[in-house]
Amino acid sequence: MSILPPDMDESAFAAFLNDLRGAVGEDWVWSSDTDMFPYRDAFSPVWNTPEEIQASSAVAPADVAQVQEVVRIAKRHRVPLHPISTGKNFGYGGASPNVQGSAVLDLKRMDRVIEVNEERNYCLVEPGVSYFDLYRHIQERGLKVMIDCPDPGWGSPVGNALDRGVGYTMPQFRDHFGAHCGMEVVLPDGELMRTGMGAMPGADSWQEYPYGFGPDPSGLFAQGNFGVVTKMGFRLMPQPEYYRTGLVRVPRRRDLIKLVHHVNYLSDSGMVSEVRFASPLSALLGDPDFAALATKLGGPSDAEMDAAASAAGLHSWAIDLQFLGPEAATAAQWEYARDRILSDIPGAEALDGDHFALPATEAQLENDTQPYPTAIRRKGALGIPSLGIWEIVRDDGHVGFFPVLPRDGEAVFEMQRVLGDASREYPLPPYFSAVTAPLFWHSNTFQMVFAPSIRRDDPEHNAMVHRAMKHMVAVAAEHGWGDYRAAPIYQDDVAATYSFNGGALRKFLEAMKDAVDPDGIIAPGRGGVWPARFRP
Amino acid sequence: MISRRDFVKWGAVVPALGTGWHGAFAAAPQGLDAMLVDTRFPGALDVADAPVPVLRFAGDVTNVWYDRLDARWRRPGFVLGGITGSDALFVLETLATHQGRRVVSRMALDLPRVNDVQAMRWIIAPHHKSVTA
Amino acid sequence: MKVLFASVLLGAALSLSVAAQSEDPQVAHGRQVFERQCAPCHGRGPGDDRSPMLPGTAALAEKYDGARPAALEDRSDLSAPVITLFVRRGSGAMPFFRASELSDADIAAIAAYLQTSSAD
Repeated sequence: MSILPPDMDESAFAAFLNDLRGAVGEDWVWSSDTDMFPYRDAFSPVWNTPEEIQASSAVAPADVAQVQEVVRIAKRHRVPLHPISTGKNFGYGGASPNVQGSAVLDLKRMDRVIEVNEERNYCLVEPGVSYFDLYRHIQERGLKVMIDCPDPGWGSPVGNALDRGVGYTMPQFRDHFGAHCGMEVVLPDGELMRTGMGAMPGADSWQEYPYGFGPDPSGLFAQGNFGVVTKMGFRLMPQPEYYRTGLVRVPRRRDLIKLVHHVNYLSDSGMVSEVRFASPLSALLGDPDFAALATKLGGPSDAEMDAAASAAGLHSWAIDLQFLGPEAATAAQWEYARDRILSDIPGAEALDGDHFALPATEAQLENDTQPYPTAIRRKGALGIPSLGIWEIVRDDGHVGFFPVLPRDGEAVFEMQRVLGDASREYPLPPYFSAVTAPLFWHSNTFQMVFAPSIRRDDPEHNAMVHRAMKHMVAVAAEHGWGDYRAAPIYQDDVAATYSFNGGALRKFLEAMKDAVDPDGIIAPGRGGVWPARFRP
Repeated sequence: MISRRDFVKWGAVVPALGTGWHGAFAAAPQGLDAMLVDTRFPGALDVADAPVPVLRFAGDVTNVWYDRLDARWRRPGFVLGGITGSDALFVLETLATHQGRRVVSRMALDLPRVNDVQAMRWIIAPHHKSVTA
Repeated sequence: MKVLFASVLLGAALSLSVAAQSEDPQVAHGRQVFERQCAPCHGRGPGDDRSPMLPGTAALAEKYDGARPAALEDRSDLSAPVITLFVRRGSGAMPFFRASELSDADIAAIAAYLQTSSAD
């Protein structure tokens, strides 16, 4: 059973495909069930249900001119295009569109690393370039720059940044959209635009000054639907000389508040790379009595948690610190961080971790000599793409809800309690408990993780997960905690929580959408932004 | 808006300030709440016995504004006289405008220029009704 | 730019030369595609951070429990149609791969490469 684009019959669809073949060649247009299967969301909780949104076709242009031609064809036929870069984005919808029958605009063939500059520390890449590709390009040339990778390295720097993905190195690089500098975009009418200094003919500073002059529209293309990004620049960290790690543990539950303040200071001062909060008490979750305490309705008291920690001889919280830079600087920064925290929190203790000159050896990358348990993945910490993380994928994948919360210990306790209580009714592992630590992925905020697995052959389980996702988004929003990124099937739910002043933000975005994309052909619904044609 | 009473008060002050240091201070500027003196200009240190509080600075007026004038200018009243470089007066006039005040008198002084900056004497007084006494 | 381009070609040629002398072009292509597209998950090496195996290899080790080799490069029973099925349809946690990223010719080349790698 073939899927058709909206408001289109078989013969009109055939004419559309025919035009696409004329633009990109016979071999790069697909519409059969077999060919379209891999464009489905492999991690979909609504797999094989009426809620699953599937594309009708896919087209893979080879270059910018072909992208422009595909956009013009889609406009002429009024077929929604769903652009993907490498189309991974697992847990956030994969390659699946927001509108049934959309044509996927697959940019995987555009895989040129256009430039890596090791003197001025930037790169310019096409959407089909993966983190592996960019890393290989840098390694093969011996260039002295480091990239910042998200978890699996097969994704695209362009695609990941445009979905506001995150990585694991210094704050100014691990917010991938924040680290971008300069874009080239095919607009909904097929015109080609460059942002920032790229708008000035002859400028050689496209990847150095993102703004150029006047309003900077680059934010519209992240989680947005105002155009198709065909080139994107990124700032890169110069290859650091040295890597150093250290761990600080604090005894009491409420020590987290001071610990967070210190870590905020260290991070915002540029002294530490990504840090990893953890609770050593997580080791006790296998004990039913402790698990019951940590997930108690309304949350346990501080005294109860401190008593449990004391009885087990464990600290309540730990922070893994990482330092990148010259050897002496990393030593001084670690010494400063340790003294700062230990002098303020009674009973805190510090442990020296691995440290070595970069680039790391294979043995150092194995990360088997760290003298304490650590959740830090060594390759990610050093900007080396990997698929090793795939070991955490359970069942047939998972969906993710990552609410943003203030970088504050009290807020951590409140989210543990509120979302812990809200998720109790679902038969899932306890994503929120009194030992859940915040993630410090984005440069300036915390997040927590709710990522239940899905099972393609268990619709009942998936339906429960689907209900839980929507419920958690709604409960979190009641407390001012919003998701940072969502699969198309959740984008309307999430966008609706950003509702200040009667949804003024969405109204503004939709007014712009109607102006620049009157036929609503570029990813209608992405980011919760619907063109007039598809608005109810 | 300057009230008639204020205008009379400042009108009495303006002529009392001569075109040099000693003329300015010898005349005991009635009606001023403070004087601001730019020590870049020779003779500025001589005005030890001024009849009103004297605030001193040397070219960069930032600190005296940040530490003293900003807080005082948030309350009604306060007529400030000054003998400063024209550059400092430009900055003060801009800051004063944001706080409902205006330069109601200004005159170039017969003092040697310092780093090509002209010495000025001036009075900044409340203007907007939110700060007129 | 020309110099850079030439050095890239030279580097690529050098890295392939050892294997390429006796390897047919399809096998050489399959080796390269396997290294880039499959080995990050299905390679023979260890996984990240003390994991004994890469995730794909670990999953197959668990699935076959010794009945078949866990590393794909040790398998001689993987024909192009079988690989196509797994690549295009996925399996468990393994997602699908599209023709835009792994063509039918690439898959045939992977099959050819696995025949030689398993014989090593």
